[in-house]
Amino acid sequence: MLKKEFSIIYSVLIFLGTLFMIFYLFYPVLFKKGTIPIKLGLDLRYGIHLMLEVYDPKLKQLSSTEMQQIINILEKRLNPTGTQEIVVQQAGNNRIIVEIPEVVDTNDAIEKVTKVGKLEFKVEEYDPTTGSVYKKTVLTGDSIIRASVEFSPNSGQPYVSFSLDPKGAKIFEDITRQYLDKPIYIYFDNKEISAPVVRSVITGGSGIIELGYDQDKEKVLKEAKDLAIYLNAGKLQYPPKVLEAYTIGPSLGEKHLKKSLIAGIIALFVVCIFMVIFYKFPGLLADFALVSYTALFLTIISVSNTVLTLGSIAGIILSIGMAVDANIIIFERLKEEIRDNKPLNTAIDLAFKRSFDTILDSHLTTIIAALILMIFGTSVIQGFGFALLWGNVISFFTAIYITKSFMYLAFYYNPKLIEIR
Amino acid sequence: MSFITELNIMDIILFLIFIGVSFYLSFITKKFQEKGFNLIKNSKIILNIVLIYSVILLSIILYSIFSLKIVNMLGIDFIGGTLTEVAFKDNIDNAKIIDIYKKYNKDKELIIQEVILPSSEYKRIVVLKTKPMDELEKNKINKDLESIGGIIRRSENISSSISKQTLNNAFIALFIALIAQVIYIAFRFGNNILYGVIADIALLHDVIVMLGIYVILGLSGFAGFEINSIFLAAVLTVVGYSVMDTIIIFDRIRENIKIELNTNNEINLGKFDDLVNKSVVQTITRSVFTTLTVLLTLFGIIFLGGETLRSFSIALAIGTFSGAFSSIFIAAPLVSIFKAKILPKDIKNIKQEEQEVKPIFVPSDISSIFAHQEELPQEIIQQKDDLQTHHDDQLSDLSKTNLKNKKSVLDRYKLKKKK
Repeated sequence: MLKKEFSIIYSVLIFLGTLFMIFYLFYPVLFKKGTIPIKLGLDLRYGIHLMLEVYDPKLKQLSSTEMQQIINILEKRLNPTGTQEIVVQQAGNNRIIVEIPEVVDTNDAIEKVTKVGKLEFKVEEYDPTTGSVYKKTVLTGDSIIRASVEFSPNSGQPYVSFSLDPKGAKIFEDITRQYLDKPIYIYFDNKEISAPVVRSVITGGSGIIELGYDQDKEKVLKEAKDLAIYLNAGKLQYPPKVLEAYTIGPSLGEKHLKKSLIAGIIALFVVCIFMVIFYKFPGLLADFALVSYTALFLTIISVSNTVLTLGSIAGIILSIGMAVDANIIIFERLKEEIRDNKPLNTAIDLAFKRSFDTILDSHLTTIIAALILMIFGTSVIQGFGFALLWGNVISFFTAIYITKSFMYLAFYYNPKLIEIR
Repeated sequence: MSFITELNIMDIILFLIFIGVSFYLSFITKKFQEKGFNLIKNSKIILNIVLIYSVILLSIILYSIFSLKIVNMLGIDFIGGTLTEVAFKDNIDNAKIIDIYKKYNKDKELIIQEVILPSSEYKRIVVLKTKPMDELEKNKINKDLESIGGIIRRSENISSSISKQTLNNAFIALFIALIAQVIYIAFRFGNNILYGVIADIALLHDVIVMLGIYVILGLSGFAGFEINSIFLAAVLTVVGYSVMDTIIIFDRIRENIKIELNTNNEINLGKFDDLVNKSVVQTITRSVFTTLTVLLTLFGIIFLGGETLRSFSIALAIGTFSGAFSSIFIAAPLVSIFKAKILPKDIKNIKQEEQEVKPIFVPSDISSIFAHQEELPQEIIQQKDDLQTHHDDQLSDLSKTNLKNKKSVLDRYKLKKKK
C-alpha cells in the first residue's frame, strides 16, 4: 500500500526524471548541435575491423609487455597524429583487434599492420660522384637489445637509455667517434623521428639520448616514451597475421543505424498501442513506464560510454517487448483480483505482490541466457547479450515500481480509471 | 519522411499483416478466456499432431546432417571463409560474378546466395562465399565486383584457425546454457521431478522446431539462414524464454492444487484435468500477450530493420512463438496425462509443507466482521480496507514455502489483530 503523499512524490520525480533524460538524449538533435550522445560501433557507421595474431615462432607466446609494445607500435603507425578514432586493443593472449572507422580500403591498413617495423640509424655523407649530401644507413633496429625511459637522478629529466648487441656496439663506437658533435638521424619506416647530436663516443654498446630541457615536463616525457617505443620497434620481427577482416561499406553501415532506429521506434509504438487497446488506462501507465525504461537504458549507455552496435540495438528492441511482460502479468492478476470482488486498493496490492515471484522467474531465465551470451559470444553476440542482460535488469525495476506509483496516484484521484475487468 | 521511400512496399504490407494477425489473435485469446474452453479434452489429438511434425522436422535435421548438406549452412565464423555482400542497382547475371571469381581460380568454391526482400533502391543483393583467401587477393576481387556495378556492403574474411575456436566456444555456450536451464528447472521443481522432465520436453520441442524450420529455409538457398554464432544467440535466448513460459503455467497448476486442497481437503484424479484446464485458461492471456508483444517488436526488426538482422529475428520469432505454443499445448496436456504420478506427490508435498507450520485460524474473509458497512463512519471503512489488504497479504504469504517468512508474518499478524 503506497501512501497518497508518496505516490504523488514518486510520480512527479519519475515524470521529471524521464523528461530530463529525454532532454539530455535529444537536445543536441533539437538544437542542431550534433547527434544523440551515444558512441556508435563500426557496424553502424562504416569501416574496417581486423583481428591480428602475433607470436614468436620460437617461443610461441609473447609476454604482456611485448604485446603492449606491439600495440603501441601499431597505434603509432595507424594513428600518427593521435586524432583519429582508431581502436587497437589486445584480445586474448596474442591477438589484437584493430578497428578503423570510415575507411573501406583494407589494403592500406593491412600493409601498415603486417609489415615488420624498420628502424634505421643514418648519418649524412657527402657523395663525391654526385656532389650532394645523402643519408647513409649505418645501423638497423635489429642491433638494439632494449630501450627504456629513465630519469636523471639530478634534474629529474627523462631520457631514453638503450643498449646494443656486441656487433652493433662496435659499429656504434666507430660512428660516434667519426660523427662527434654531429647528428645521427633515427628513421622509422623511412620517416625521421629524431636526430640526436652525438655528445661523446659511446663505447660498450649502451648510451642515452637526452631530449633537451623543455618547460613542459609532460611533453618531454611523452617524447621520450615515443622514442623508446620506436627504438624497441626494431624488435617487431614477427609480422602480425590477419585472422579476420571485416569491412562494412558506407551503404550498409548508416542504413543499419537508420533502419534499426526506425524499427525500434515503430516497435515501441506498436507495443504501446497494444497495451492501450487491451488494458485501457493502466496500459497507458505501462506505456509511460516503457518510455521511461527506454530513456533510462539509452542514458545509461550514453553515460557509461558503451559502444552501441547492431547486436545491442537488437537486444534493446527485443527487451522492449519483454519489458511489458511484467506489466501484463500484473494487470492480469489485477483483473482476477477485481473479479474476486476484492476492494480496489487490496486488489492492486495483491496484484503487485502475487505477480512478483512470476516476474522474477521470467527475468531470471532470460538473464541466465544473456550472461552466457556475454561470456562466450563473439563481439556481435556480446553486444546482444549485454543489451538483453541490462534491459532485463532495468525493466524489472521500471515495469514494477514506475507502474506502481502511477497506479496508486490514479487510485487516489480517479479509481474508476484502473478498474479493469 | 525520407525513410519511407527507402523501405520496400512489400515489407510494409507484410509488417501490417503480421501486426493485424497478432492483434486479432489477442482478441480471440481474450474471448476464449472469457468463454472458457476445454483444452485437455482434445489434448490427445494435439499431442499426436505435435509428435508428427516434430518427427518430420527432426528427420529433416538429421537428413541435412548425415547428407552433409548442413555444412553449406554453417556460417563462416564457424568454418572460416570469405563473405562478400554486394548490392546491384541493375539486374546482374550470376555468370558475370562467376567470371570474376574464375579469374582468381575461385569459381569452384563460390556459393552465391540471394538476400530476400532487398530495399527498393537495389534490384539485387547477393552474398558471395568462398573458402578463406589472402586478404589482398580478396581486395582485388572486390574491386572487380565494383567495376561491374556492385556496391560492396560488407566483406568478411575469417581464417580457419579462429573459426575453430569460435565453434568450440559456441558448443561450450550451448552446453552450459542447456545445463543451466535444466539446473534452474530442477531447482524450481525439485520436489516433483516430473514437472522438470516435462519442461525439458517442451524445451526440446522448441529447439527442434527452431532448428528444423531454419534448416528448411537455409537449404532452400536463402541468404542469411546460416548456423552461426548469431543463430546460436537466438537459440540461447529462446531457451531462456521457453522455460519461463512453462514455469508460469506449472506454478499456476500448483497454486490451484493448493487452493483446491484448502477448500475441499482432497482432489481426485478425475477432477485434476479440470484443474489443469482451469490453470491454462487463467494464464493463457498472459502467455499469448507477452509472446505477442515480443513478436511485435521482432516483426519491426524483420520487416523494417534491414537485411542483416532479419534471419536472426526470424529465428527468434519462430522460437518465441514455439515457446508459448509448447507450454500451452504440450506442457499442460502432458501434466494431465501423467497425473497419476504427479498429483499424489504434489498433494503429499503440499500437506507436508502445511504440517510444518502449525495451522493458525485465519478467517477467509474479514468482511463478516464489518457486516453493516453503510452504518460505519468513513474512517472505519478505510481501516477495514487496510485490514483486508493486510489479511490478504497473509493469505498470499501463506502460499509461499519459505518457513521463516511465514512465521514472522504470522507473528506480525497476531500483533496487529490485538491492536
